[in-house]
Amino acid sequence: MNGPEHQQDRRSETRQSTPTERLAWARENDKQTSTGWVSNIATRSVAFVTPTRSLPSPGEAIELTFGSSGPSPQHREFRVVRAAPYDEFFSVVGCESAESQEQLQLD
Amino acid sequence: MSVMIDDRVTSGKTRLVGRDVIHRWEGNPIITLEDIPFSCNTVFNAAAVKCQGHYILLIRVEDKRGRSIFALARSEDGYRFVVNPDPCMVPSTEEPFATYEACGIEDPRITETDGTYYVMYTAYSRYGPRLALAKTDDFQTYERIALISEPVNKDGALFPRKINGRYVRFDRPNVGSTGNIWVSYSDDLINWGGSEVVMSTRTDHWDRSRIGASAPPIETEQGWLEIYHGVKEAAAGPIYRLGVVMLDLENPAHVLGRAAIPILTPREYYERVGDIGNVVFSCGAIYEEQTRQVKMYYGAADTCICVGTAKLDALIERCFEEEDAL
Repeated sequence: MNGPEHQQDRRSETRQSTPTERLAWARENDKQTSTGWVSNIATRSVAFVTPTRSLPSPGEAIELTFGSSGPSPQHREFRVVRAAPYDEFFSVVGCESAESQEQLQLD
Repeated sequence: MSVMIDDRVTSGKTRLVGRDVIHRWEGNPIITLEDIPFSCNTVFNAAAVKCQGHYILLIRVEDKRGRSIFALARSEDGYRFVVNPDPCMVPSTEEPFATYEACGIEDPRITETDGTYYVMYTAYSRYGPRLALAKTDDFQTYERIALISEPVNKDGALFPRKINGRYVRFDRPNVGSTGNIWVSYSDDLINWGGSEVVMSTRTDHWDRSRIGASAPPIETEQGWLEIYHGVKEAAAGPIYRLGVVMLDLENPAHVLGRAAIPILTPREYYERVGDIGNVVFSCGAIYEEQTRQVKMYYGAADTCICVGTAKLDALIERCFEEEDAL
């Protein structure tokens, strides 16, 4: 499932560009949350902008909370794929859903 | 006037944002408790200024003890801010400031004039709130200049230039539970006088209980544009909204036009729910000359900081609209 067929599947996902949606993220087993804003989101992956000084590392497991400032926040597990500079203060973090990785292993 | 109803897709849902002339950024709130690197209780509001291409916010936060202090946040785009690891200004331990800042420092407003950044803020103590003035070059260190009013006075905002050779400020002396917007004048930024009322509450409007200056005024061709806050005491508690008024360039005590309806009223969840719900309260706005856009920073529900934008012309227009046309 990791071959070209899977890549085609990923490309066909419906993508929604909502660069202003706020989220909160936290490292696994860490109560401290940081802020981010979604820059790109697909079914199984998310890219978000977050302060560079608190950047998670590639491979690190994180929990994202969508709608973190609203009445019904939603939590999802992700694993960081890469991080790149955004501007002087922020970086973009790309991560994949932990659920999708478990599914891939099962497949 | 055309009614501004803004349908936008956020988080996959269509939201009716409302009829405010201020357009809320979809990524609001921009600063919450989670964004403050040091331990504190809550986030209130912020002074705002643009310096060397960077957006600067001087944020009022409440420390764990319950006193207000200031923190510095910086941004490249005016929407995403990074807060410095430590507070940049805390209540003074040196007299005469220590006595009058014992309960905290609140509601800063930054004004650049004569090449210096001045911070007018409220010094709060058992004797009540009074105005104080400090200055800074780098926003990291602050030199206190003077305590510049007696209690009870707050909502001080310095004009960005002298008028008829004198510095000018807004202030808000309280009379019981009500208060109106005044102007005062000074030759040296320390001794103030010549005070006169600019405008008062309106018993049949949204700003019926008390009003005060919010952001330092913006100079336009039509006059001084001032974003101010108004309070209406309702059965369930006060509702804080924001409005606009246009003042004469040479005599800022003379009102040229005052909007009948608010430019921003609490509607969103983060404005409705918090330490003090139903509050939008601004201490700073940045005018972007290139786009003729105003970025207004405001505290929401005494719990977080948000940003909203409006075209300068739309705000000016709002000042002169006939009430019957609304």
